Amino acid sequence: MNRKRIQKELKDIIEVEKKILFALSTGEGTEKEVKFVVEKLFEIADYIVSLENFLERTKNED
Amino acid sequence: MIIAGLGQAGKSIAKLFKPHSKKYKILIFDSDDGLEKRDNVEDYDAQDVKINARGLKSHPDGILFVCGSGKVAGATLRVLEALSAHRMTVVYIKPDLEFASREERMRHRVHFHVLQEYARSGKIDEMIIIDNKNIIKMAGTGAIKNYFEKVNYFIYSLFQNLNYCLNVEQEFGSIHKIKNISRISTIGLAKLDDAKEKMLFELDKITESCYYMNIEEEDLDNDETILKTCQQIVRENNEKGRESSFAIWTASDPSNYIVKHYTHYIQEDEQKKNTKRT
Repeated sequence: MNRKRIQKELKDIIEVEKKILFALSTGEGTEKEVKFVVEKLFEIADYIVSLENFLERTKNED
Repeated sequence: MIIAGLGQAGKSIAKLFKPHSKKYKILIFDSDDGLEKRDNVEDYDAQDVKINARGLKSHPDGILFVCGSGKVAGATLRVLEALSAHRMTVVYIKPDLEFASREERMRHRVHFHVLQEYARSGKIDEMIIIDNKNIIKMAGTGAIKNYFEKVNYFIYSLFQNLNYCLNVEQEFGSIHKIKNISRISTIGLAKLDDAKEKMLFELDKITESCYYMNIEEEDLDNDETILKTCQQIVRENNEKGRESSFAIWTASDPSNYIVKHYTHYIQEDEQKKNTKRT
């Protein structure tokens, strides 16, 4: 159950990451805004790596 | 051409081009070497990069070498911003994720994806992805002392070869003109006699390929099968639904080829693929 919830969370957060990446690639926004977006991308990536680590650790529990 | 190296790996590769500095403008970016030393990747991204190099304007294009797992790689977007007047190709060295720390994986993830989006949107001219693991398999590493030296030299000589082909008139064929959208790429290598190609990154959904056939002078003069062999290699690639072409140059080494494969599809990293499989 827990794994399924984490898998869904991972899927959702990757979608969020994709949208932010797309927004970044448009080149819109001030320099300050772009820096803020990149900062958020690092936070999201950190979260994604944590979720991936959890799934990797518990892969035999399915 | 500008040759820029960011971080330890990028810097070491860029420095190898120094003996040819008449052709290249070498730029180095590392902590305390063009960049202020910072504690984390976000702070490297936050600092402004100013380039005060003479004669930069006479180089319309350039290559930036960077390995995405280092903290200093955080300055990649700032370096590219400072070089935005030039057509920049980024050579992204993908770290070996198996032995990477959580922070290194996090940094790689951001750089890998952001740079691909930058390539797709045309902010950078091209992103060439090469996987450290694949390079080590090909170059061999030997003793620890020369580990990175060998890897860096392998990358350097590969790009020297490619630059040679782009600047010297070919004997036969033409250089493939890629579509404007095909901006994510990798490089493959093979000997001509077995054509067992080894790719520097497992690029998904390849749409176009350009073959740089380097044929030994003796083979060019005497071997009547060379052209057919080249055509067959390219034909087989075409049959996979990839637009391909080739050109032939004279080489002093045994006949071999370098191929550049292109796509416009965003590439996933290994970790993501593995997680999907579980």
